[in-house]
Amino acid sequence: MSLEERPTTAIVLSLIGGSLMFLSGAMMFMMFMYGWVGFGMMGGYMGMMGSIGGLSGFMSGLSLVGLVSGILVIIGALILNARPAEHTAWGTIILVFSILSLLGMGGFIVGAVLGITGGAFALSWRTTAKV
Amino acid sequence: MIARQRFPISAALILVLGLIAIAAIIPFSFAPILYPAKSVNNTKQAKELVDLYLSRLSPDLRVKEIMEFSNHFYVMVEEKSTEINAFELLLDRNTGTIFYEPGPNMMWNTKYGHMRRMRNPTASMPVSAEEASEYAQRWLDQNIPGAKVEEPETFYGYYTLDVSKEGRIFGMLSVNGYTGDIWYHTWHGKFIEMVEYE
Repeated sequence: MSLEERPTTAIVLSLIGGSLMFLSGAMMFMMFMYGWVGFGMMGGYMGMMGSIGGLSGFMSGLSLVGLVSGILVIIGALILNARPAEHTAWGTIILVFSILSLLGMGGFIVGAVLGITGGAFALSWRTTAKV
Repeated sequence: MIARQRFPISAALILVLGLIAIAAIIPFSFAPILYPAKSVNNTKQAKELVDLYLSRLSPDLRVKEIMEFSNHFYVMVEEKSTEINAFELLLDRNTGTIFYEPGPNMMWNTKYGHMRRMRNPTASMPVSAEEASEYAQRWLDQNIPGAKVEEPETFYGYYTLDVSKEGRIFGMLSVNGYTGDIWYHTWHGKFIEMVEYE
């Protein structure tokens, strides 16, 4: 097992943010493509969002942006964990795709904020190891 | 030893491919496969589209009535098992988009609207159908003299009543089943025709 230091905060924030982006993207895609079917306590239907055609098609396309961004942020965080020395590169990827995820709901916004924070932490991370 | 920072090929590849994927998705969002905009010209086409939509929601829902207005089609949806009106939909005549009617349908519906977390949603309300008609008629007398209310349709939490003048329907309003508040539907446009389904 490697004893190399890791930007743990950045990795955790990015993983949570990426997961939220993926989740919100998948939920939005299902909702706009197939209609929103009842998660209400009473078995009711979420109002106003279920639709067929028109705007729903455009929104389902945009939700794919959130989905793809979420996957790339998760990949970035996992590789950052494996190769902390490359924190600038993977921090850039996390930051860029977290910002782009905002086009597709951005992990309920919270996910994008966590991803952007995680990416910034990864970019500014400095090891405390001494030569 | 402090490792040397670099921007490896794998990271550059993921960055470029990711940006290309997202750049491709955005125009794809407007593609006909995801954007099946289709104008709806009559109640028969509207019924087919709403039936398809309801089949995705629940087998217990059916179209009870469709009213064609200049702005859109208004659809009343009923629960088959209870024969209680479930909710109201609007269908955009230019794009075929179906969406939940704003106003009382969203705000007062205790089973399907924003109030859906209410325990035991019921169509038995403190304001009776007769009282709802009285309140509605009183409001019309003050605001649209000469207009008459038709039979109230009962939903979970409220009533919706068609409004006519000189024997011809021209609009509708809703009455809250708990407070008696009136909400006139100002968004429909000019009434064209109505079809009821058994």
